[in-house]
Amino acid sequence: MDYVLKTNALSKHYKKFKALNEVTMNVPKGSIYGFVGRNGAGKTTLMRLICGMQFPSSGDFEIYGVKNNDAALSTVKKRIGAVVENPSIFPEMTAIENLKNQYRLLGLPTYDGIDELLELVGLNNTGKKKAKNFSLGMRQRLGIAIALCGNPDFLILDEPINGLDPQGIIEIRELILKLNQERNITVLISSHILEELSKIATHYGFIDKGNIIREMSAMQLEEACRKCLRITVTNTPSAIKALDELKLEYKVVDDTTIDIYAKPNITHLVTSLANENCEVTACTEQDQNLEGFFVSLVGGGSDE
Amino acid sequence: MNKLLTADIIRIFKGKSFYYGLFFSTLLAMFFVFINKSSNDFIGIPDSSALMILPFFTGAVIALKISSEFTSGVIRNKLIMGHSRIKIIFSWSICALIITLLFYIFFEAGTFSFAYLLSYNLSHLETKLVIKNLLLIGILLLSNVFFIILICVIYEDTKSIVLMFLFEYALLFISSMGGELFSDNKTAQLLLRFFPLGQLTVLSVTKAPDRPWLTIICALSTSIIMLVTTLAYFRKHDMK
Repeated sequence: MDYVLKTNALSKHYKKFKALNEVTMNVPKGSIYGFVGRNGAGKTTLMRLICGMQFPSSGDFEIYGVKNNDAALSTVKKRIGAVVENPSIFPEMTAIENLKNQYRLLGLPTYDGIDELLELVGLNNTGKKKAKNFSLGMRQRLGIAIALCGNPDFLILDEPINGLDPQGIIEIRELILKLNQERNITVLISSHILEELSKIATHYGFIDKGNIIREMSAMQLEEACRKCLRITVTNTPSAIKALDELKLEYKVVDDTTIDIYAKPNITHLVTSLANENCEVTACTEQDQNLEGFFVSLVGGGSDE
Repeated sequence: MNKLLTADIIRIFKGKSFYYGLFFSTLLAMFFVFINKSSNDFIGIPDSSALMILPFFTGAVIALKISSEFTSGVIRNKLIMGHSRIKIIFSWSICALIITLLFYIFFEAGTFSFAYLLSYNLSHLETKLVIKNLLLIGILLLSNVFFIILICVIYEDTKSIVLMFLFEYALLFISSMGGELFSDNKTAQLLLRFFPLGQLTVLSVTKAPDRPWLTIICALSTSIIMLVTTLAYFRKHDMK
């Protein structure tokens, strides 16, 4: 698999505080990589390191196979667009002026494509309205338009739907999907609004207290969150035998726990297990969403 | 570097603050000429007044332009697209030098043209001497640029404008007090050569400057030290 971004034991320390602790993650090409973590987990820090705003304390990262200490990185970085924290826009300028400024910074010979970009993000009717008078959603969309100047193929978005109203959230979601599907742009998107992320992400990276705790594809996550009946038994080999006889789809979670992916008749199930000398000590229905899965990964409680 | 410089220069010329600063500093020069008309005292305006006023005006405009890149986050765009931090500093430096030079030209043009219009007696001025002093003042003003950039890079927001003002005021105070108090102290006089405001009471368009080469060396060394310090700091500094 081709990766757009790979980090290798990337760490960032602020005095004694470890904002990132040997983070190793891989963003596959063409994916929408949902970067999930609580506030202060290290999501923005990682994005700041990738964008060159901060320097790693140790470890390294590769963008399109070019290491962060390689001189060629500045060339590769032209393929990246990013909105980290707040959209980087001049408030005194209009949307067009902001885009023109970005075009000049990129050294693009003409302003061709600005109208198309404005239309793409739905800001084509803003005219002479200055960015300072834009709503939060409009600023966010202008930030994305700026990030899209120069046709990047890797987009980094840090909490792009934070503070947006439901309509704004839908617009940004549709825009990200459109960019990924129509322009084949790989997107690294961080968020703690998990349900929203679950609607677009193809891959996930879960981060907590500066550590990547798990990376998985959306398919794997779906599998993990699949509705099932979780039983705790006293004799797992016997239970397996009984379940095979009942022709039920199941997965052995650990020595005493089995997930059954079906809706069996509980009486039949318990009787069959009892016939195999296996007692059911607990039985619960599992129906996890992304939020539940995340909580089960990092544990509940405060993020402070 | 060219892309960066083009974008930065266009942004400066498109911003209102640049024209406001230019207008008001020129207006102030003309005002000085106007209020001194009764005494026909032109001396002190193209030299001391320029050294006293322009660091504040140019400083404010430069600090505003640079700090707005930090506060708006646009500097992030520059870094993300691969512009090196060194090139960013060089681009800012060139822009700041252009701003200072234009402000200075407008100030002096305003001073001399208004003095001419008000029929000041300028016959006692020696062209060669005036040009020599004006060039020296120009170099001193340009050296001030690098200090402003250093402050902006350290503070990363509009606080830098306030700090720049405080520093310039402090220098103005030290210079005006120290210039007279330590007129016989060679070390103090040498130290004052390192700052534009330090020459406030020394330079005059009517007299030959004392060892101008030494003033130029001091101004250049201040510029180089400030620029190297800025580069060293910014190159390895984690941005807020």
